[in-house]
Amino acid sequence: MKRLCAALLLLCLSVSLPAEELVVGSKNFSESYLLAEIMSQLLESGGYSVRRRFGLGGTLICFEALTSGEIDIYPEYSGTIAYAILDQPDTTDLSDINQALAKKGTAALAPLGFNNTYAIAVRGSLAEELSLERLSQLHRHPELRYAFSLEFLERGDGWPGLARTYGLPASPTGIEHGLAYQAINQNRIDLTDAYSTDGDLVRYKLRILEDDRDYFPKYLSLPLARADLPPRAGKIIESLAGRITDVRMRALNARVVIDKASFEEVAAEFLLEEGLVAVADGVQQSGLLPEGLLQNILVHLKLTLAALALGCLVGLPTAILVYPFAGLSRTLVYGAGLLQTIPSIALLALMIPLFGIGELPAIVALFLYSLLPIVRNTITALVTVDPVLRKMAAALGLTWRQQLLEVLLPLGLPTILAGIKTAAVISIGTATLAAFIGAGGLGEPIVTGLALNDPNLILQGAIPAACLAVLVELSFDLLEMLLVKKHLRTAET
Amino acid sequence: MPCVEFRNTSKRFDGAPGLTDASVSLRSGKTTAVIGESGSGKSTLLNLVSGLLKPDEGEVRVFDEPLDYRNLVSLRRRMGFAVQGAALFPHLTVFDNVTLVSRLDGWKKPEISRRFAELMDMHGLASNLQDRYPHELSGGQQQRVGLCRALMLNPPLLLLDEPFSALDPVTRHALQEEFLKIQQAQPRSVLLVTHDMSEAGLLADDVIVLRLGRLVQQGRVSAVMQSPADDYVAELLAPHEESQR
Repeated sequence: MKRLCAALLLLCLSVSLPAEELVVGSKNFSESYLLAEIMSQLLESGGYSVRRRFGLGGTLICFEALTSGEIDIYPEYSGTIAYAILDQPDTTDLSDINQALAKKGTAALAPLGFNNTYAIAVRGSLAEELSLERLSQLHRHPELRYAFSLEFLERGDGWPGLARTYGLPASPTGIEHGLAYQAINQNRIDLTDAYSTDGDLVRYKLRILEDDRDYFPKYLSLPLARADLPPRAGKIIESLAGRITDVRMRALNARVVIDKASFEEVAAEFLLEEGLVAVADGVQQSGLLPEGLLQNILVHLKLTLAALALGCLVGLPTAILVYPFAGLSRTLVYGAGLLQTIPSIALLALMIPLFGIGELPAIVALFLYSLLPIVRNTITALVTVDPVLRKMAAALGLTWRQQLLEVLLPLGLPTILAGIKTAAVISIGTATLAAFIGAGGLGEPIVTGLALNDPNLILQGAIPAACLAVLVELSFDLLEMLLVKKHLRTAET
Repeated sequence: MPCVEFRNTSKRFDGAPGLTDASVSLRSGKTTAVIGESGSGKSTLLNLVSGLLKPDEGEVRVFDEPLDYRNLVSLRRRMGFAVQGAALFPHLTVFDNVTLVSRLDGWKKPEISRRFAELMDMHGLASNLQDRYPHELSGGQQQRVGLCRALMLNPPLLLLDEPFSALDPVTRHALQEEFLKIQQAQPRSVLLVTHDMSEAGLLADDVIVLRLGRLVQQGRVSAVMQSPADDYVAELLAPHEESQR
């Protein structure tokens, strides 16, 4: 009785206290968005306030975000946990998986019910023509064009094992998963990896080839949470357990990708049908529609300008200190160039263990990219000043500082400005990728658009980004007109 | 007291001799010409005085003190410097080119304007040129502005590296005359590097002859002209056609 009273008291307290905030993450494909939205709405109806950080770029980014506390929960798959996170491909038992996850401060909750395993999809008409039904028939058709998502190409349970198991001789190309179905539909490729619950399979009339050698492991959908997730929140989420079958999931996905219903709508419908929420909450605007555009632009500008300011703050003094030493200058430019060769998405991923997810790691990554043009142009500007003028500045009795401020920097200004301009334009382009690590900006509609195969949504990010780049280019030209005398301006190339 | 003195001074470039064991002293208030073929070490000698180069051996003394390489800035503000082609700063107007050092030296505005007007006048430059940029000036005007800049702080020593040589003969002659007039009105120590003996004869009191980094002869211009030390000096002294320069 006492215990019951205490429990009741606790319940009252938790209801009356300001809502506790939980952060729900998702990966950048539509099923993950949808499941994350379902979890979010369920938690909200349970009294939590939920921050959504959807569209994170891949398993490792999500898991890093989870272990570093940037997110509390996100939808994951058992096979992905075993292969990509734990690197224990033989662990299929859920309690074994949970034992290993516990060491990393995380826990898998009860599976939602469906198995979204990898599947190999072929264009329906082509499958008909070649009577393709099973994966074991594939090796007879080496002429087929294979293209797989990069993750599938790399994963131990992806292409390498598939090729071995079925003796496939092909050398596949990589393709962004969101683009693969379009490519297959337009007859650019013949075959790609798919998820077995994908609504797009219906839309594009693709045939799934039967995995007749039982190669693909189980990918049971389950919520992956931090071990310190509040028990009450865990209970709320586990009310979803076993409720979503393969067929149900494919139908829910199809609502999004074919009927163009929003994640919020589909999630609310589902929860209502299942009787998990009493009444549908008012469907919120997703923030990806044009109303969110200004917000996206502002975030985008913030990321870019912060990175650029940091780039100037570090790059300019470094270049100034280093330029008199030819060897050191070369090393510095070489090092900055090396940074430039790291693919943006990889650099962004590398930032997560250090800075978590969100704006900070994005700014740091963009800053690193901006260094090369700034440093290289500043060094070039300073070393290419006419040696006679350099000598004259010294011989007239200017201090080192005065030589720099009165002669070298003003003469190098056009080249230095050009470097900063290049850095700015690169930053604006690269910042669209920052959405993969939850930094928002104009990449957000692009990432969501890719997940949904929605060209309109992609353009909502791409067009403003292009406009921004042009605008920045023009403002720098204006700045040059203001700061640099006409006869000293660099010829436009 | 000599204004510049070299004591057994040597300077090598990558093993090649720039200046070898030079001992020479320059009279204060007089113009000393340094002549010799190209590669004879004339500019090396000048750059050793301004501290742009440091000797490998021996000593360079300026204003009766060893050159203090840690304190070149204040020393250089007492040595005017002008070169062939003027080397004006292209991003600065005539006014800013000439007055840059005085501004950095902390002069007051009226003081700067007064000295600027005085120099422009002295070199026959119209005051409406002051807002022009160097590329808007003729070669002669650029060279005059370069001399104004060298003289802005009224330095006791003036270092000139062939300042009249890239000009057409008429302009060169006009500038040489102006130089003489200014020297007569306000005599100062001048070190003038030139490859033109007739210029040395016209402008200088003393002459130093260099060959392959070695001092060949020094003395009053008239004395050297009367008795050249060897064929090399005699050849240098012989009148040259314009086209041979």
